[in-house]
Amino acid sequence: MTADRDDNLTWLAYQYVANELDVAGRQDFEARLADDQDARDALADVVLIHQALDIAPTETAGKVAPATNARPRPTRPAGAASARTSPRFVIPAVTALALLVVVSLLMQPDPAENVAENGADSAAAPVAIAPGDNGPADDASSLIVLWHDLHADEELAEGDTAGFVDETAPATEAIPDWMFVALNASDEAPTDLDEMDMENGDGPWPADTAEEQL
Amino acid sequence: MLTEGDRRPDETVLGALYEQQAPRLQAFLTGMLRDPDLAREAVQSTFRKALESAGNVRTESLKAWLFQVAYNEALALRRRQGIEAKSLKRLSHIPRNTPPEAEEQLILEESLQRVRAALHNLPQEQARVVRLRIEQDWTFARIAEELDLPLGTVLTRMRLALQKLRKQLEAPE
Repeated sequence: MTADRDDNLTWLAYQYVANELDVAGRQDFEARLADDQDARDALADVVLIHQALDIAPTETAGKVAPATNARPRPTRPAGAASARTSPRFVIPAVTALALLVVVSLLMQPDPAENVAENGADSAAAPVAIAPGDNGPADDASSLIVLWHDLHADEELAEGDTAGFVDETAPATEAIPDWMFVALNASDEAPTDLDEMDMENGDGPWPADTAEEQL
Repeated sequence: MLTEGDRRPDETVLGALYEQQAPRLQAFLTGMLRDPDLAREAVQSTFRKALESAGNVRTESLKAWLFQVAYNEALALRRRQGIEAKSLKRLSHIPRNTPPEAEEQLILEESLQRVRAALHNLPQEQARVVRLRIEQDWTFARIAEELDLPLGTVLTRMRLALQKLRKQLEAPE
C-alpha cells in the first residue's frame, strides 16, 4: 500500500464519516468496504479519531483508569467554577465566620463591668446598679456611680481624657462626706406625700407664706 | 495472540482476536451504522457467527474475514431497521445502553489516548484545523474564512493531520 493510496483512503473515509460524500461517492465507498480491508481499517481509524477528539474525558473517566498523557479539554479552567461552589471551600468559610461571631460575642464587655470600670455611661449606670432592697449598701453603690458620672461629665466638658476614670483608685476615696450625710438624711425622710407636714415646709417645695395669708 | 499457519482457529484464538479487534470492529461498525449501540449489537452477533463458522477460515485471513462478517451484519441491520445516515457528531452524544467490557474499554481507551497525545505533537496550524472541524464542528469553508486562509490550505492541513493521527492508531497486531 503506497502512501498516496493510504492518504486518499484516509481522506475518503473521513468524508464518508463526515457525510461529505454525495450519494454515488457514498455507495462506491461502501461497496469498497465489502472486500477492501485497507478501506475498513481507514474507516475504523477515522471513527476512533473522531471519538478521541469528540468524547469528553468525563464520559469515560468512570469506566477506565485515566491515562497519563490525557489531552486537556478546551473547556473552562479547572477549578474556576468548582472553587466557587465546592463544599471544601464553603464549609471552612462558614466555620470561620461562626467562630468569629462567637469570639466577638465573648470579647464584648459586660455592661455592668463597663459601668463600674468606665463610669462614663450615665444611661446604663442606674440600670446596672439600681437601688434595691439591700438598704444603705445599695444606696452607697448608687452614690459612687453617680459621683463617677458627675466627674466623667466634668472631664468630658473640659475636653479632658474623654471620660476615662482612674480604675486603680478606690471608688469611695474622692466622694465627700456630705454626700453620705445627705443620703442618710433622705433615707430618714418620709417618702409618702401624705406623711409630709406641708405647713412646716416639709415637702418637695418650700412653703409659700403669701398664699397662706390669702 | 494469533498463530500463523494452516491451523484452524479455535475458541482461544477467537477470544484473543475479539480482545484485539473488538474496539476497531466497533468503530468500523459505528462508521457504517452511525449508532454506537447498534454497532455494539453487530459486534456481538459478528463474534457469535465467527464462533459458529470460523472452523472453515484460515487464521492468517481471520481478521479480514471477521470484518467481512461485520460488514454483512451491518448491512443486514440497516435493512432491518431502516437506518438513515446521521452525522457522527450527533451520534457521539447518544448514551450507551450497555457499557463495554472492561478489557475492551481499556484497549479502546489506549487507542484514544494515543490519538489525543498525537494531537499535541501535530504542528499547531494542523491541530487547530482538526479541533475546529471535529471538536467545534465548523465547516471547512468557515474555518478558511475565520483563519483567513485559502480553502485548499485548510483541506491540506486536515489531510496531513489525519494521516499523522492514523499512524498513532497503528497498534501492534
